[in-house]
Amino acid sequence: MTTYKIYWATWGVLLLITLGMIAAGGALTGKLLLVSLLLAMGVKAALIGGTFMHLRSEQLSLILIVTLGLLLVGAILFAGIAADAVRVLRLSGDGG
Amino acid sequence: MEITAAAQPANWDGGVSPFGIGWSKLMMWLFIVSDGLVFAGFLAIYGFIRLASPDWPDRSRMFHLDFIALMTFTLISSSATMATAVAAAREGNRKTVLRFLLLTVLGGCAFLGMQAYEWTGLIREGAGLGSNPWGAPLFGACFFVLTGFHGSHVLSGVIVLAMTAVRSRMGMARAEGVELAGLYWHFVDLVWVFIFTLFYLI
Repeated sequence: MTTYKIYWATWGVLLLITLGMIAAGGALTGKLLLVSLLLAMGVKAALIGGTFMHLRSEQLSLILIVTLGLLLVGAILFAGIAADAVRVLRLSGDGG
Repeated sequence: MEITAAAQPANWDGGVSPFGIGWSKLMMWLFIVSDGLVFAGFLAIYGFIRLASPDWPDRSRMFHLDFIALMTFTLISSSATMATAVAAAREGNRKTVLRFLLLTVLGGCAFLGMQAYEWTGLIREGAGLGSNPWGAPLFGACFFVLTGFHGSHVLSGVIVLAMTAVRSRMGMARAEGVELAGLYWHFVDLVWVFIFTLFYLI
């Protein structure tokens, strides 16, 4: 039964973070809210991947392939698209 | 002429696990990475449209956050029951595997029911793939495509888990099979973490 405890402890932490995120949505604004939510999202993703999917007990080569591949593509997509989207917004005349 | 290379073990001869896991698990991980990239593409498109739309609707006018929190609670809980089922399968505890697999299926069905309820409410208020009564028309396209694609994954997961439960009941499910189904289910939960934050909270 002790092997199951880690999963339910993780479940509790995930729920607490989720509640914290919802509370932050009502209490914080602007960049502080954005950074807090993105950080919390990253911690939740790491907990699910590391504990539930047992990624932290796999070989480093597998961990790197899974995490770096997704993170790099995500970063490239964001870097390429965010700047272009802001340009579109400015061209439309509403974004200043 | 003697070929000396034939005497040495090669990665291409089989029997070598470069990542220290079996091939079926490796294939599942590669599927998860490729599926994750598809979701990353969808989220990037959503991000582009949202950043480029000056009249993006206020989330508090469309979503009931308490209800979305309940959906999130259901999915996170089903992930915990799935992890317990995987651990029980490793220990060879068939009764616990079956019980927690059924709980996970129940959680998945509850999530799908709640998503159907949420969709119905939004559609009744006039939201659709090309329409949105609260502002930017592309909101509807982003919302229904992203949550619909995720919902189809939940549905596939529920079917796979139900089949695994039946096989477990019949004593045919191997521990690795339960683990692979679990990996897929946790991935579905992982994607929801991103959708919940980027779509409903920000």
